[in-house]
Amino acid sequence: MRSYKNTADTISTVGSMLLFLLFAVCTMMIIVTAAGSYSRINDNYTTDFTASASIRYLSNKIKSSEKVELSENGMILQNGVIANIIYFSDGGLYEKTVAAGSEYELSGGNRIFELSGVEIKETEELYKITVNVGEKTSSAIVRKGTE
Amino acid sequence: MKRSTKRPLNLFFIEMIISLLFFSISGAVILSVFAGADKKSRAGETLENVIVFSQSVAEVYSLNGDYDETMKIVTSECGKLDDKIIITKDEEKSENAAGTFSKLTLIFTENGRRIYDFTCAAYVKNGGSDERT
Amino acid sequence: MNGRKQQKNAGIGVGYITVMIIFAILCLTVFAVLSFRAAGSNDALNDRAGNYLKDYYAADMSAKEILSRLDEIAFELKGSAFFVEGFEEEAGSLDGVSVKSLPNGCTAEYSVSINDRQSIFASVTFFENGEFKVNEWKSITNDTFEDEPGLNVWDGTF
Repeated sequence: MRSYKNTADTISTVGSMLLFLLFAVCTMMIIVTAAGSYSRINDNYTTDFTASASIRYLSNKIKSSEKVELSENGMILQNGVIANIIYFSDGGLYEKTVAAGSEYELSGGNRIFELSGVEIKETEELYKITVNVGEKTSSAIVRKGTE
Repeated sequence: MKRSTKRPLNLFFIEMIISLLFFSISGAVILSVFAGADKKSRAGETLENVIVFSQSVAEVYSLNGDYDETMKIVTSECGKLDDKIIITKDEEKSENAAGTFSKLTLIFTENGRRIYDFTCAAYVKNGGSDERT
Repeated sequence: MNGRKQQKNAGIGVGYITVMIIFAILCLTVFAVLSFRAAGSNDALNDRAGNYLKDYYAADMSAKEILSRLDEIAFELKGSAFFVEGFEEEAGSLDGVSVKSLPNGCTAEYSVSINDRQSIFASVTFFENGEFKVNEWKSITNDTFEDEPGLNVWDGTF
C-alpha cells in the first residue's frame, strides 16, 4: 500500500513538473513570437521610412535647385554660389556642401541615409530616382524644373 | 492525513488554472494590439507607395496633361500599384487661345476605403508640349 | 511526517507560475506597445508626407494657372509692335507677378505659397512670337537671412 502511494506521488510530481515545463516552453515560444512580430513591424517601419524619406529628400533637393548635374554615383546641385554634392558610397547616401565652381569630389561628405543603392537617371524631361533599402525598391519621377 | 498530503498538488493546479485564465484574457488583449499594429504597418506601407506613385503621376502629368500617357510612363518606370488599390480620376480641361490648362484629381481606394486623394495640374501650349524642356 | 516533507519539496512550489505569467505578460505588453508605436509613427510620417504633397501640388496648380493666364496675354499680343509694353501692363496687373522687359520679350516672375515655410518660385520668359520658356520653377524657403549684430568677444589685440 505504501509502495503504491509512493509511486502515485512520484507520478503526480513528475506530471506536474512536466506540465510546468510545457507551460514554460509555451510561454517562451509566445514571447519569442511576439519579439519576432515586433522586430518585423519595426524593420518595416525603418525600411519604409528610409525609402520614402530618401526619395522625398532627393526629389525636394532637385526641385529646389537651380542646376542639376548627374555624375556616376551621385549628383551636383547648384544654387547660386553653393553646390550640394549628393552621392552614394559604401552603403550610404552622403552629402556635402562646397563652393560652386570648385572641384567636385565624391568623398568627405556626411552620411545622411543607410541605403543599399541609389540610381538617378535622366531623360529628356525627367529624372528617375530609384532607391534600394534592403529588399525594397522605390522609384519616383521628378520633372526638370529648369533648362 | 490523506487530505493534507494532496494539498500542494491541488494548489499547484488551482494556481495554474487561474494563471492560464489570466494569461488567456491578457493574451487576447495583447494579440488584438499586435494585430492592430500589424494592420497599421501594412496600411502605412500601402499609403507610402501610393504617395510616391502620386508624386510621379503629378510630375509626369504636368508635362503632358494626358492621363493615359502619364499612367503609361509612370507604370513602366516605377511599376504598378497593388491590384487591390483602385484609382478613380476626375480630369477637367479648360482651353484658352494659347493652350490647355488641365486639372487632374486622383482618388485612391482600397476595399472601398479612401486612402489618399490629391489634385495636380498641367498647362500645355497648343500644338506642342510645355516649352520648359 | 518525514515522507510528507519530502513530497512537498519534490513538486513545483506555489507562486512560480504566477511569477512566470507576470513576466510573460509584461514582455508581451512591452512588445505590443512598441509595435503599435512604430506603426503609429509610420502612419504619422505618411500623413505628413501626404499632406505636404497635396500642398505642394495645390501651389503648383496655382502657379500653372498664373502661367496659363500669362501665356494667354502673350498670345493675344503676339506679333504686336507693342508686345513688351502691352505685356508689362497686363501681366503686371496680375496679383504677385513682377515683369522685367527684355529686347525680344518679357520675363515674368512670381511665387505661390506652399505652406508658411515654402513657396514655389517661377520665372518665365515670354517672347514676341508667342512662345515661352520656363527659366526657373523651384521650391524656395520663405526664411530670409537676417544679419544680426554679433557679440564682441575679442577685438584681436592683447
